[in-house]
Amino acid sequence: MLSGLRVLDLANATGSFCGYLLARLGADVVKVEEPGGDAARKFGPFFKDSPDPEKSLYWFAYNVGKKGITLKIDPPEGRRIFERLVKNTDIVIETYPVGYMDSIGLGYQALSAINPGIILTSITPFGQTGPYKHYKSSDLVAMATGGMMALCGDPGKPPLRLNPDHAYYQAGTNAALGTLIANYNREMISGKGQHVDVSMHDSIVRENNMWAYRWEFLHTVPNRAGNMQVREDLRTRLIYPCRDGFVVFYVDTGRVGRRDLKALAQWIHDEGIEGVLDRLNLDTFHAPAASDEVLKGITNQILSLTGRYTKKELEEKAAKRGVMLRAVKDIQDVLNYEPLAFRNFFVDVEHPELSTSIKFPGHLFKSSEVQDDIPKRRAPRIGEHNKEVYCGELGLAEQELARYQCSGII
Amino acid sequence: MAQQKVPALKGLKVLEWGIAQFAPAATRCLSDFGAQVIKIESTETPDVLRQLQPQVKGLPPLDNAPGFTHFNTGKMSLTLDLSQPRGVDIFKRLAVWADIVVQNQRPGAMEKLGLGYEDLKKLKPDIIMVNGSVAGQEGPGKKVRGWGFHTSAISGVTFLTGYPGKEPLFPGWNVPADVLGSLFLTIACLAALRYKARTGKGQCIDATQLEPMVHILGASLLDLTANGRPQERIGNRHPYASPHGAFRCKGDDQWCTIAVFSDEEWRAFCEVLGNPAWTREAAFATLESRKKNEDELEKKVEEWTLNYPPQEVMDRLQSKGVPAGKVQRINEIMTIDPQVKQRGVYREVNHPLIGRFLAPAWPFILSETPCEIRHGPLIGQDNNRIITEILGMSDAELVELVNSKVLS
Repeated sequence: MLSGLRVLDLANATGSFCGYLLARLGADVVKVEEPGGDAARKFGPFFKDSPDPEKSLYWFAYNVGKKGITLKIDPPEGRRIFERLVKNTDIVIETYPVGYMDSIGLGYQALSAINPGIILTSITPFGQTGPYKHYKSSDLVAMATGGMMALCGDPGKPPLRLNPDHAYYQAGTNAALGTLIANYNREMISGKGQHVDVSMHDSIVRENNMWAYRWEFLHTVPNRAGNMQVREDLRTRLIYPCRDGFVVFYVDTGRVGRRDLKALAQWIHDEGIEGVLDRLNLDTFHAPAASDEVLKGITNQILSLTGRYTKKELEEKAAKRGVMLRAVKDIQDVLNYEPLAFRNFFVDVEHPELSTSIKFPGHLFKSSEVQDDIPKRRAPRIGEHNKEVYCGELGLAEQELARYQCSGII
Repeated sequence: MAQQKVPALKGLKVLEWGIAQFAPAATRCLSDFGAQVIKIESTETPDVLRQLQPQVKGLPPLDNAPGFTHFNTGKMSLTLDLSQPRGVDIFKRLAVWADIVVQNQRPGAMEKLGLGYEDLKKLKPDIIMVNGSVAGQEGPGKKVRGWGFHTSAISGVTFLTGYPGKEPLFPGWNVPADVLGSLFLTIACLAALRYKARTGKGQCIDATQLEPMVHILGASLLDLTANGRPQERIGNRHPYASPHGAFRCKGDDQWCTIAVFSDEEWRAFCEVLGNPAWTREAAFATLESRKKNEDELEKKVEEWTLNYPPQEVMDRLQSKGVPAGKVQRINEIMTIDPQVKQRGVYREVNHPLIGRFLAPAWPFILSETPCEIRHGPLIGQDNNRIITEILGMSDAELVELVNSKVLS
């Protein structure tokens, strides 16, 4: 759907998800690495545990579908080559420290003077403005300052981040969205590009917006609560152990929540697990008003039920009864999950150099029109497309390319 | 120099029939950047967001929840009884008016009403319809229901969250899957609009909340598909950084995160601590040795962080280029976070009944076409205008639609 869009992706691991999403939609994304390769290539896990910049699964994960060239953009010669690339580029994605692109003469104004249609998408820890703009960050730091860690973990123990690199994915997705809005404006209305300023910190703050209006109107400040709800009015458990893992269920309020709890209570009753649920009027039950003792009783009954079965059994039985109980799927469960298989979600990407193919997530969504948009191109090897891009597109002679390679520019 | 800025998506017309966050938050983004969004609603079976807690006392029951605005800024609202054929007819006329139709009703619900993609395509061959669900419009995913919390569980993301060797944990409530799913849905809208602009063709999009969450498993997924190794929870640690964790600071339950990746960052870290003797011990000299002695290292680090409030730990370390950030709670984010304030992450809206309160903007700032955050609509506030101005029906027809409760 984005075919014909040329993207130069200068992002490090904190921002490579943005170009990944655009590539998944058919954009022509060219990763621009430092000669010698991007730092993310040094991160594992590695294919067959063999540390090698061409075998990093961490690098593969979000550079699949991209082309790859190498270029040192700060020396004047490198900058001039970059400027020539920008002439035929629609979008530049970068994650350099605030002010760096300006300092080497490649800031938004400079790029815009070369190509007024250019969209420059900058993904930084705290954004291009504000007192923290020069502060450094990482996934962990952004999850902390953005408010997500305060909600996760056991009371008394350190607050927890979510799955590794969560903040990079939030920021990368927001960056792709901001870029596509700017691109719509350019292609449909103005003909001009603009600077898209994405903040990792703001992305996590934004992810938490459900707590803002509760704070503003109820003055509540939620805290991490282990496997319990973090909403102070819903003091119920969320994650329950079962025979081979964990499942999630929650006692909610409102008509959907009541219907759900009634179906679960019937199930618990049919299993012969006695307790407080037998004595409650579930047509009028309102969890926030229930006593701690009642809630504890309900929790114990649910624990008795979940302790009897495996997560698969529980999920199947729950589905038959219309109970919103779901397994906490491990990665293997996810790979085997029928709805994903039905949608042909996972795709095999050939890695001829490793004599193997590796399964990756495929489409971002299904489209009735565009079925072949998912590039099966594996992540690029270091400088793999140098000749194609520099000689084929920019018209450098092969000797020139060799000279730049000798001088360490390419 | 001051130039009138034209919204990014000026002229774009969107019809939304959404529930909760998924579709509403997606079209909200389009609305904030200048699209005209009509939200189909019902007073009989209102969107759950109209009944969100908290509710402001003394106001009409469906217009008293500030949280509704957070997901519906700037939209128009039309209340329509879709159990009546004329309600369905008005929906169809609006679908023809719109550039794009976005919905996340239960899979199959649209088809049952005669409003599925094939039905709408007959009226408008180049229609774009974006359908959202938990796990797909067809096949085994069709019956998978759930809130964002359930989606996180089936995606593998919950499994990877927790302290090492302990049970999975997750921040209660629905946040991550809802937010990511909506962002993907908006991306789908923009991608489909571009495709249509280039080819003249519309399309039907079947987007889920589940797949975006699987996309963010990253190398954890590939380690299994390429190496056959199932990854487990690693808490706050990182295989290539140390120290890398949340450390207790001075105060009641106060914490600051520190993430030291490079040797340069380690040297700067030691300098901030005043180069105490332990930092020169072989046990902590290299990343490799620090990883080996991480329990002990974390104790040493915490002995230092306990002396200062988290803001001071953060500022001291950042002043020497060490990534560090305090664990902020929502009250700090809303009151003292200087970035949130200066960058307008939250903006004041003026709701006609609730009054002034804060609603979030976007974590991306567009230099030439900024977003505008307005209050969410009162239920049915635009009925008259939509029927007469947008659909061009007569005042007599409008009165008849009201009397027969088609405009419910």
